[in-house]
Amino acid sequence: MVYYRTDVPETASELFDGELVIAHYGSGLYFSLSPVGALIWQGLRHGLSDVETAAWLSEKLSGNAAEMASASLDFVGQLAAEGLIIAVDSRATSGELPVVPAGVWQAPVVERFDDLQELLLLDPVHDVSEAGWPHRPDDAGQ
Amino acid sequence: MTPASSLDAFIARAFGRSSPLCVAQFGDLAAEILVDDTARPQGFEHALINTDAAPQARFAIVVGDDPVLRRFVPERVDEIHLMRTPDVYAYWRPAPDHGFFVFTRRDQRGVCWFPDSSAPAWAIGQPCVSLLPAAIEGSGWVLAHAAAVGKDGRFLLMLGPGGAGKSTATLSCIRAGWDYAGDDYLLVNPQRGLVAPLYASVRIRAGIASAFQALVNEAFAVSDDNGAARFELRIPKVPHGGRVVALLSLDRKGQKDVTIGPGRPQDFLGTLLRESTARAPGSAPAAASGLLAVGRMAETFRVDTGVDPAAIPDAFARLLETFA
Repeated sequence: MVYYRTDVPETASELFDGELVIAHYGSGLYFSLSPVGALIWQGLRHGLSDVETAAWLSEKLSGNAAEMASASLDFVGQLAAEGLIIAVDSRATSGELPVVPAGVWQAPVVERFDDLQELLLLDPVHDVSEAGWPHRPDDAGQ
Repeated sequence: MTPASSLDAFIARAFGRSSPLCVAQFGDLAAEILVDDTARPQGFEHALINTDAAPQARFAIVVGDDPVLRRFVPERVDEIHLMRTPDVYAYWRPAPDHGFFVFTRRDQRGVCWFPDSSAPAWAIGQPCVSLLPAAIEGSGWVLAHAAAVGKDGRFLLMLGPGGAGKSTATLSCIRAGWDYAGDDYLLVNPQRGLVAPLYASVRIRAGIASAFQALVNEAFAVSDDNGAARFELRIPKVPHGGRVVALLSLDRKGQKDVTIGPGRPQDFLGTLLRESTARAPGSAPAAASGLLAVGRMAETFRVDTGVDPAAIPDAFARLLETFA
């Protein structure tokens, strides 16, 4: 059982009609999580562990419990691998646990877009040091 | 000497060469604009919105070679260079239209330097746009690649990639007497649900120029945008902003008539993030939260502006009436 934080440095996120959009400046990638994927992310944000999140959704949605648990845990692993959540030692509650609309389980999906990569990945301190740009060559030794 | 403090010499030189042009309004920010003798006749004032407000910031625009400024050209001149600290934003834009843009927060001063003998036309149509994300950081406003038109303080915010029809729709509405809050770049405040103008200018492609010939005849500059001509037009009516009541995700699908249907913020957010940070690379970390929040400002509609620009204002008016 693992807990995660979702307020990851170098990311910004926003929920739209149940879908979650995350921009990650560290990787330069932009992600869109399907409604069930967004629920998993919100469960983790609320302080549920990966196992508790899977159980919570299994209670709320209809479907094969074992399949839901397995897919949910795999999805959490995928989010962690993309750097969108970070494992932590203990439960840290943040944000409300959302109301889950009644319905049938649908496998969570994370879409990954790289068309922002060039802009988001630009190193904000590229080529800068005590003697680096921007400097005046005349300043050397002054 | 640290890189940041060495920029003081750059800023001092640029301001030393410059004298006041006007005080311009950029959303809530009033900034005194100074230009040097080479920049003065190039027409920066055409795009600016003048104000009598006391300036909170000062921006100098300098054009042409200079023995002091030249020393800040990076060794690898054809690569983007950025420096971003809590106090300083510095951006070297590589060729073909290279320039160096610096803003320091401690004294709210910025410099736009174009080393060639004239500034690129996009910079004349959008003065100081590369300084603005740094200058407004933390204010709640973000620079957005969007257009906005409205009536009675209620505005439609148009989003989408270049060529989606923003400028056509904007000019059609201006011609029909609508209020104008911006085209290409403007300011949005997602928390307050507001849009505000930056410029009194519109940029249009040669392909749609014939539909707006009277305005094109008054163009104050013609840009070369990756090989395509862009006319920089000054809007005669003073721009102002207001409350955003709907988000229009523009997308040409070949419809004959203007079509408006349900849309999703996810359809335009990627483009909005990319295009809004293009004029000021490195601004994404500070601006991304605000730009994503644009998607929550109002309901989103997917719009195809059709083939007849004259039909756009009526279609938009019918949509606007639903938010009365």
